[in-house]
Amino acid sequence: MARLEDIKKIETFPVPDGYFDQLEKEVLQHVKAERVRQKRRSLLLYAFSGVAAALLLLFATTTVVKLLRHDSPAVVQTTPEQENPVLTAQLTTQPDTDPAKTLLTYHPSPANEIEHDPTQLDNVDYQIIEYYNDEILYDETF
Amino acid sequence: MPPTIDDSQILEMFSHETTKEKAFELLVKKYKQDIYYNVRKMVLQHEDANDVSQNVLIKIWRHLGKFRGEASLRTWISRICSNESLTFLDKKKRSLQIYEGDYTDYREATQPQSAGENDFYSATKIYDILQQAMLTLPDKQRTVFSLRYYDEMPYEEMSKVLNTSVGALKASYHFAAKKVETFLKDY
Repeated sequence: MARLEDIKKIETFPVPDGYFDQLEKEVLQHVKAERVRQKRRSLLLYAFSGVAAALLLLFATTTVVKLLRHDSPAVVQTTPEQENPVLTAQLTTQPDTDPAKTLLTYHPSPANEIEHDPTQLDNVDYQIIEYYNDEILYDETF
Repeated sequence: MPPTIDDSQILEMFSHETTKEKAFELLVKKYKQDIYYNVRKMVLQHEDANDVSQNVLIKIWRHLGKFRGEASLRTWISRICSNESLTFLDKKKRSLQIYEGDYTDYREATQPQSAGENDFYSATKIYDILQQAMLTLPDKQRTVFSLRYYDEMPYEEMSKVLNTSVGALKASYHFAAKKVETFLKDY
């Protein structure tokens, strides 16, 4: 029987003709196909990310616009009473003043027309105080 | 004769997207035979060696970008060959329900039905006997024997491939060679 050192010299693993070229071809084809699949996956991911980013931007813009509208003084949120063009005059009496005198306090109103009872206007001091959300915008006593 | 392109050139080309495929093609041309024979010595059958070799090359394609250069490219590839071959053998043994040491049954289960049915499995008598001898070795010992006997790989390099100390590898090869010689003496 041949010794271990001698066996080494013998080609012990014969291989089919053309096998290595075939192996190379198959592996390179597999790698090419894998690259194409990877590129497709990347494109889908980019498209999805783009759509998601656009939706997020739209949502953010809408939210910011809504917030800005809410805070702006030019945009008045009025109640049905306030939208009524007829002023609602609230008669109040000041205990420490002449009881004959009545202070008319006008609550905020977008309109200028005032409806009042003339009999109530004698000996009445007018004080027009225009409020907006508890902030005094106009104050006149006459 | 495989092209004699430098490993550093291959790695440099592989790092650029435009030349990545070309780099891999050059690597395959350079290492395909080494990879095949490394694997064939472990798994013995040509069909199995073909499957495992393809797996090794695809693994190289997927992970070469992460190669840190701590060992040589050849050592890194040898390690992949070794790992893939051992994984394959584990799976095959499990599927054949063969347990450690029961190598006669393994050989009988995987051998062609009649002599000459698969020319590439038993081309020469010596080849056949050596295969039998190697089959009596545990998987890791067979790896050590293959790398040292066929590739004449230095123990220091083998230590990086198999993640085992040089002393342990020397001892492993010594016992493997003794077992194979004893087996051969009987023929």
